Amino acid sequence: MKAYLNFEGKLFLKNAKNKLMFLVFFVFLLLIVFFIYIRDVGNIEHTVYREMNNNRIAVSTLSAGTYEDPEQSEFFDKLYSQQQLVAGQDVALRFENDEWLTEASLELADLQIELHKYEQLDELDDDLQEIVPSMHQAQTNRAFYSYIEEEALPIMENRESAAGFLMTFYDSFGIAAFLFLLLFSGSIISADFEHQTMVKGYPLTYERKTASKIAIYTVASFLSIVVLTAAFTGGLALLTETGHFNYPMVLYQSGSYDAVSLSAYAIRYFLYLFVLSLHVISLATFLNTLTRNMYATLFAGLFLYALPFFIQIESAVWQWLPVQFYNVYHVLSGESAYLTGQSDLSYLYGIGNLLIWGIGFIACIYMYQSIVSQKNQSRSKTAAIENT
Amino acid sequence: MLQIKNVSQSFGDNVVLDDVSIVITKGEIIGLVAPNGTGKTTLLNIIMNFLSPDSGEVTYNEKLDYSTKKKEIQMRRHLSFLPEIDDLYGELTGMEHLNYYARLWNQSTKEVQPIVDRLNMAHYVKNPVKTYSLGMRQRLCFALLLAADTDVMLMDEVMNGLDPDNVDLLTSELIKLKEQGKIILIASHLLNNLDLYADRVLFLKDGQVALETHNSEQKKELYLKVLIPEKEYELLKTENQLPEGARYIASALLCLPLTGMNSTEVGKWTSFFYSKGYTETTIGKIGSSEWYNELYTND
Repeated sequence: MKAYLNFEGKLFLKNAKNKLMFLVFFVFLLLIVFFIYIRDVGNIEHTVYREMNNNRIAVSTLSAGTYEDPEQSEFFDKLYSQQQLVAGQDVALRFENDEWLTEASLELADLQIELHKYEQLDELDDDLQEIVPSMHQAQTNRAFYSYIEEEALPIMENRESAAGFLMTFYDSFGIAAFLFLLLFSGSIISADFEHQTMVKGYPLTYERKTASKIAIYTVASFLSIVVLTAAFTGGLALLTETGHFNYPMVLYQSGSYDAVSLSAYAIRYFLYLFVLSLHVISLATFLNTLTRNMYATLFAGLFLYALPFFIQIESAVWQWLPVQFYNVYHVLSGESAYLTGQSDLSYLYGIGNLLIWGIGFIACIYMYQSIVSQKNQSRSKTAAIENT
Repeated sequence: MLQIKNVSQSFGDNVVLDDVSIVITKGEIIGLVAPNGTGKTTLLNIIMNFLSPDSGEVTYNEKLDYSTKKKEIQMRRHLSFLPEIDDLYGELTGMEHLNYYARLWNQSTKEVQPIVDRLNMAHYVKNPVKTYSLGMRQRLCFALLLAADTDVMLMDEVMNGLDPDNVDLLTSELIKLKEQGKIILIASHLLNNLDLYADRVLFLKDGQVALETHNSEQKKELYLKVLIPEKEYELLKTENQLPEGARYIASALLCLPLTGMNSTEVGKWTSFFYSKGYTETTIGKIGSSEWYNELYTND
């Protein structure tokens, strides 16, 4: 058993497809750096400037009559206040006054949450609706700036540091994690078909071989991602600057938005990623056992991944499906819960759901194999009885 | 003792094995001979349980068989199968393969280096398998069985792609394995080579063992062998009284048994054939290649 685990581990690391995957992952990390340094992703000054302009243009479309209507004026006053607070953020940034920026941002977040209580918000035209961020975004901002205020942290104006890179990595890899894991494990069972005269003769049961493979693939693909990310982040810290690893990241848990430090978020993020790895590897093993083909496995996996992007059904059964939890960042940030209106689509619930389904897939593989093996053994037994 | 009991296997209407029974004892090498597609590999696959037979069973030491999962794993601890060269892992080295096989069958990896040295693999075994030639891969496959060191070893075309020196090398290794008491089944087309180490050669035809030759008995049965075309043989037969036990094999080879003949008679027959112009005369046993021609040439 130990020999098989070692061998499968070596195979995973030396497999040409996996080496290509490591390269693709490295390119993915480079792309994040490209977006941070070249496209200014996460640059707070640019974001605020853009918001300020959008607000100015949208608010200028309002006619003077709107303010004179007593039923409408309260709401539109608040819209106008929003424009002022965003402008206040911009001024605070220009004066490099973090305290002022935090105060303005908190006030803005509270105002935006309040704006969602007005029915008039739904009646606005598109340009005006766009300047009011979603309830999810407003609550995220409030949790984020509250943490900064409580911990008296300086504002990270851009993400040109190791910590900033990690923040962008969480956003972007959260969407791609499922696909990476699926590509790692798409041929987990069918790859053995090319080595039949070796594999079939091993003194190991199918169950042990499969369990070992799932364990090796889960640990190896998870560690590959963690080690490469850690090495890349470390390298970036040496080349640029470390940044603040106590900077807040917002985590959605059971209906509330809580900010935690970047390092505390990393533990939760990678724990979720580990459970997702186990789940995806089990799913790929199950699909690969049934289809006996890598491409069919990848296609079926992609179909499941894409399902929530196209279909959202308001039913309890749908809520129980694991496909809702495949986008790590959306679940952890609360975006999935917000978009689906299901507060259960959160971190701990996701871990539980993915684990249960993963174990379910493993049970299905064993049941399927047990049926196949029983058929074969009953043939052997019948033959033995006939001979005696 | 490995027992193959009443094994039958069909693929559609094609009966590949029909009630085949074979018993192989410790320290015996069995050669399996037949043209391609006539059941050699199928039989080996059934022995390994890669394929469940339509009927019949395989047992080891009368206690183990494939009737339960537990027994199957116990069986597999005693059996190993020569991997096909294309089934090796190209990205791994030969040494990694060998250490893996040794560990998987609970053998000491200390035994791996002597195997490498004996099979002259030291100069390439630490390179990835994808860089190996056909012969290098074949030697590695054979070395894997030595590393696993099981009681029963099954080999399908073990000499494939080997040069004469390496064929000799593997032949001597097989003889050593026999001396260690291993049970070995070899399907091979290198018939002259098979005669050097096989204790018995089984010729499969129409799903059954059509002929079984015993090397120990054959050594005692020497023949004066001469190549004669069929028409001339018919004429020769009518004109001369051939000794009892004479055989005409594969419509080409006349074999006169030397048992009971004295040297004068042997000389007389040799001179006779020489005078008739049949100069290709030899003395020896009837080899597997000659039996092969007899059984399959006219099919």
